[in-house]
Amino acid sequence: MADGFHGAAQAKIAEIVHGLLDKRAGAVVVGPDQNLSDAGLTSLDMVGLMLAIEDAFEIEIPQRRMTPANFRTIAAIEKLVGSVALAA
Amino acid sequence: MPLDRRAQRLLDMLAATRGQAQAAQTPQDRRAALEALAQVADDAPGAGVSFEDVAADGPDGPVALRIYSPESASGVLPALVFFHGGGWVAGGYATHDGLCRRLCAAAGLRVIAADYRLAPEHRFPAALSDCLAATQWVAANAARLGVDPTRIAVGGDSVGGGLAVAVAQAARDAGGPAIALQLLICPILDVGRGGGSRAALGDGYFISQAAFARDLADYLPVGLAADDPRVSPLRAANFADLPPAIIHTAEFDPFRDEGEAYAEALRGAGVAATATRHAGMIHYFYAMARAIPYADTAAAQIGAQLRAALQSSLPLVGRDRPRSGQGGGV
Repeated sequence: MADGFHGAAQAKIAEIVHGLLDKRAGAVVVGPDQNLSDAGLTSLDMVGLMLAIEDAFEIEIPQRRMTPANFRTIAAIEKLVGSVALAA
Repeated sequence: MPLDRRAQRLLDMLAATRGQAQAAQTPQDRRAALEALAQVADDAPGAGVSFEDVAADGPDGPVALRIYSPESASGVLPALVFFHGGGWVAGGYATHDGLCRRLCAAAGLRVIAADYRLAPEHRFPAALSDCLAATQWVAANAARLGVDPTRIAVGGDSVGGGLAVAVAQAARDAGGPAIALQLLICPILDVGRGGGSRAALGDGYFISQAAFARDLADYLPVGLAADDPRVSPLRAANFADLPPAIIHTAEFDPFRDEGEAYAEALRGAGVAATATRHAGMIHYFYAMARAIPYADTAAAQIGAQLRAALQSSLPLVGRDRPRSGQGGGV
């Protein structure tokens, strides 16, 4: 994927993640490879995160891609978004 | 029809959180869990809808009400007094805000949500008594609320649907207030029911029968039978002279059969009743529009039915008929 997409997508995902984290743990900042549940996101937050990612990127993540591993970190989500967007 | 693709996906996602949900045993945890679900699974629709908070006088103290109104409409409008679901233990303005807004916009009427007392702190009959007081208060204060007293509907979803039917039955038996319509969305009307959809869909379809049994245990006081018509209004002896009913059920809802049975019971007693079964849908789908976009389609349909029923079927008791085109629209 192009670097432009890469940077913009990561920033957008990080913004969504931090929006959710703000409601839980306060102003925690997580890096792209940091585990999101360790940072304070609950399982239900993960559901919200999936739906928010879909809204933001106008994609529908297939059932089989909805795995915890694909939502573990910002970098993993970015990879997921890129591959779903490419496949569409 | 199979489960809706988005409903199936949501169920799978929620199943992945199950360890957490089972740990959510205290009433406070269950309330927080439903609010958190609403936060992630619903959206904030209803541009063109405003609200105002008021308090109704009840026999046991004030009952808080939230009145949603279409911004484009003014003057006298029909009203829906609405009782939320949540298993008598959870739910409130936050969990049903989206649904109330969607119905308000789609039907062009005032939706008056009642924040009734919850169990187990307040067992039966607290919730029913608050819902009845709210309905009586709206009827008595119709003029100053901008509500047409001949067009007051009662309605609710899930256990709120059961409360609405119990209110309609109580109002009939007491000779008032006049209720124009019942609107029931996935209502729970026969709490001790087994078999049928309760058995076939008892686990894995949003609300398990085990979770429902826990809610029921928190609501029923010692000595009250589960078939008492005030908690199981489908067990009432007589359905004659009740207001017409619009009933919506979901194909994959364990409570589907009792909603449909109520429609049949009403028709058997000469009361007009329609039951619409939403194919592929689950309990509570209507309040999770972000996760299940079909909820918006259903709300538009329910709103159109509500608008038509409250604008056409009743006498106009010397009041201005609401003009067509009022309401926020969707």
